[in-house]
Amino acid sequence: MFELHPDLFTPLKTNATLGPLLKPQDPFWTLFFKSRLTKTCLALLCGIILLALIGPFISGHPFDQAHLPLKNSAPSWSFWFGTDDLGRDVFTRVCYGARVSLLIGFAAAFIDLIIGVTWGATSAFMGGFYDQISMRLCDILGSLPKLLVVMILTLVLGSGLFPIILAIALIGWVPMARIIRGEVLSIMQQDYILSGIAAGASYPRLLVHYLIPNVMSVVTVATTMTIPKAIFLEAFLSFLGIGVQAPYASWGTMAHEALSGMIYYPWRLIFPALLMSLTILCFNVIGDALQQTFSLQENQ
Amino acid sequence: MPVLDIQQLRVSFRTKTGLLEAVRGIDLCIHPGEIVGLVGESGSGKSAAAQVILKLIPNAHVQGKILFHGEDLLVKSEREIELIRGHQIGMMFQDSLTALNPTMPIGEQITEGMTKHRKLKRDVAFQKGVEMLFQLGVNYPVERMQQYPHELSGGIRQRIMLAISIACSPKLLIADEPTTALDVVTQAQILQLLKHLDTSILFITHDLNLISKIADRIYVMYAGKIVETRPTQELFKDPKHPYTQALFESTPNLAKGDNPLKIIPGSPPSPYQIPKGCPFHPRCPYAMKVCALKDPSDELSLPNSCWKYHPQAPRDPYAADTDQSVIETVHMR
Repeated sequence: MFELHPDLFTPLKTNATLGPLLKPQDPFWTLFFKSRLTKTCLALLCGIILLALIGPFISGHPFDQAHLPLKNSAPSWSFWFGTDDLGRDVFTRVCYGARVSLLIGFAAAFIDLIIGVTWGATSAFMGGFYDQISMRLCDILGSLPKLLVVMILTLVLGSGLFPIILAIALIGWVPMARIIRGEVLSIMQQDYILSGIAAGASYPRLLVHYLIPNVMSVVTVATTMTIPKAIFLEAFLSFLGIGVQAPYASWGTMAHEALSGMIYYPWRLIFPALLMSLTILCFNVIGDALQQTFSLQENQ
Repeated sequence: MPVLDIQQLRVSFRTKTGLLEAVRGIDLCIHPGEIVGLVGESGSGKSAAAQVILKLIPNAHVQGKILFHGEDLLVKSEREIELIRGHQIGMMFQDSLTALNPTMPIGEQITEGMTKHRKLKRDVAFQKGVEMLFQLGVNYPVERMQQYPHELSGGIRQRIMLAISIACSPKLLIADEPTTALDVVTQAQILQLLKHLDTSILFITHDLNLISKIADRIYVMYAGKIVETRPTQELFKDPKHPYTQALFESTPNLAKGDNPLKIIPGSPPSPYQIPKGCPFHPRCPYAMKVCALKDPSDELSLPNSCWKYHPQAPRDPYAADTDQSVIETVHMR
């Protein structure tokens, strides 16, 4: 039994202020990788990027070499995804299409990001009349039929990869600018901006250390969501025949060429369509996961 | 020379509903080493008065003079003010969760001012920050410096805000309700810390009990004007202005066992429609006809900016016992 020795009632000398440190919270990436779906999609996306990089070298067929006697052959050991109507290897062409699509996706999203962030942030920062004008401009641009604008732009800029990227980016930045403007407006109302000013921070410092880091979460998510949109728009343009021109391949042009023989030679349509769907799915899942992680982190 | 000398300060905003006058001509003076309290209800203009000192309200229309060490802050350019903010005048905000940058480690927020204004090297500033946190009673100061605001408790965050605002040892600290969001124990700790600083402090609050523990002198504000200015002891012993008296009356006092809680009837006037005459007269138990006609604070000879103290005023316009009882209860404190 516990004995209450008189010694137990003498003062205890401790430093009462030294409690245990707060439990360190999970870092961003640990939270991000918690979901199995996210991990799978990220792995798949890495696989697609890898395929785009090395695919054409491992297939053993150049993307534009025609084997007319072997045209429209079904998937086999020699042609993994079969051949198209000119006897070109579908696998190699799908890999090439991945290059084109990913390049367009990333490049267009990047240009969107730069234009959108600059436009939205300055609009919110300046406020007043300037804000009104720049946002009405956005409204006008946003109300134009996208496809028509891109078609006209590609006519003006000429065909090729770069004009398509530019055309897609030039109509895609409007939602980004709107999101950034709203976010910057709400952040400028926060007390920490006021306390930053009260602490003597200059405007450039406020922008770099107070505003931009706090809109980064929204920017990251918005950019991740813009990439699949750009990829899809490019595929759609190519499908209509105003995108990437022959002999270069993109998923859209391949789907367009496969349309005529869809019933007899389904592999020509299925493989590019499958890869495109997977890529877009992956980007969307990753964007969603990023959004969730950011909000989890904020609420912790 | 006083650290801060505010003369006839008026702050107004142009809004869609009309001209909003938040501060309507106040005089305020802080001497070196003095802790001055600014007390008032919500919407009395105390925060606007404080924020305008550092030009933190971008679209405010400001008149009057704000002399800081004899130099008028209102005529200074944005660049000159930037050098004073955080360096000569520190500011502490109410809610430490929203007033700290969530994406910057607190160490960087503390050293920001030191590297900018005092041109210290980063590692020297870091060391100073650690020392400062230690002195403010923050345990594990080195680890804390690398943490983000949301990882810390409210009390620690408030100490960090204090550390940020006094990092450059400013001559004046403006504390805008710095303890309102804290529990009483932490509140007392922060007050102790503030009391032992050797800077002048302008302490803004609505809590009379709190201000009595820290301030040397108290300004009572109502509807954008200062109604009473007295040393703390004197004010608590014998409040003169009916508004101050009513404020004391409505402070709950368990020892006295007053039940139900006394309140001031009515509500503070809307800043769009401030009553003619004394702004407090619609709620004042001693209101006389003259109160509705002329603002007593315009009458410079009048003590305590109240018509009750005019030589011509009757000693007691209403029943003698009411007035007597007010003074008695106040004496009992």
